Amino acid sequence: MNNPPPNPYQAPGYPPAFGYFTPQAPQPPSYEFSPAENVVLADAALWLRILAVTSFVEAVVELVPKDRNAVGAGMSILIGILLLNAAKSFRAVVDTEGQDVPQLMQALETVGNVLMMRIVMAILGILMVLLVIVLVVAFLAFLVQALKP
Amino acid sequence: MAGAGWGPPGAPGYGEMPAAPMAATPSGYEFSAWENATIAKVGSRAKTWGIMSILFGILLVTGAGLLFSYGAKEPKLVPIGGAVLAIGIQPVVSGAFYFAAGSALASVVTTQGNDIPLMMRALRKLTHAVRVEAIAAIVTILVGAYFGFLFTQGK
Repeated sequence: MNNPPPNPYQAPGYPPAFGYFTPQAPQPPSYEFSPAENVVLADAALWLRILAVTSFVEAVVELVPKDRNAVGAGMSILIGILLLNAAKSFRAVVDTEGQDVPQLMQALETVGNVLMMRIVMAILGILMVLLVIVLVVAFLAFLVQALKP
Repeated sequence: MAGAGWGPPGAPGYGEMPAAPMAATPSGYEFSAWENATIAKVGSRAKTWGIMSILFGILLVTGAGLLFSYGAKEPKLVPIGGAVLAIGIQPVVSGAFYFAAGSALASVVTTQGNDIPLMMRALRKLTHAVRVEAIAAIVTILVGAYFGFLFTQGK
């Protein structure tokens, strides 16, 4: 018995139907970025790597003995590591085949984590400034009350 | 015989084939629901960070303006105002790019049929934002190193 050739229009993840239908779990379709799109991704990877390096340099500067800021240095190192991971994922999209979209999602997820860290840090910074202002105002009010005859 | 073997959808003898996901056509690729959720999350964070950066930059530029206005009475404040202005411009510019990247990422989720070109547009804007930040950081490090060197020589 001659089997028919494989169906080129068949949905990925489903085997050719020989005799009876045997469904499998559908796999997500793979997509390969074109050379022009790879240039955009490679550019993103390059600049994320450069930003990561500047983040590490900032961490070193924050650790100089005179104005030591261990928390700031730790955050800079963490952001630098996340940026490097994102850069690595963007680069992997360019260098590897068959996993472009999952690698891109991983890269975006890491960039999203960096942004979230920055947002949280900024909000904490604003809250700390507000706290200092409230404490200073409260202290001044207390002084005024205490110095009243 | 017409229709022998597998034919394209609608070939005589085989009827309509189910439409396959358009994985191979660049303009027709659609991100899945899970991928759209990731893209939407990053887009929303990029927009939030963009707005925060712009507001911070505007605060610094306003401070620089105040320093310039007092510079008439106190000339020492003018170079400080210049430095604050230079520092304040970077968050405004990179914040605008982050916001634009976030909006472009959101449009990847909300539109259909153009996901990959929109994603590339978003990535270009994100790269612009990162580039502005990286160049500003390099300049800040170099200027800081120069003034640090001058300070130590002055001692």
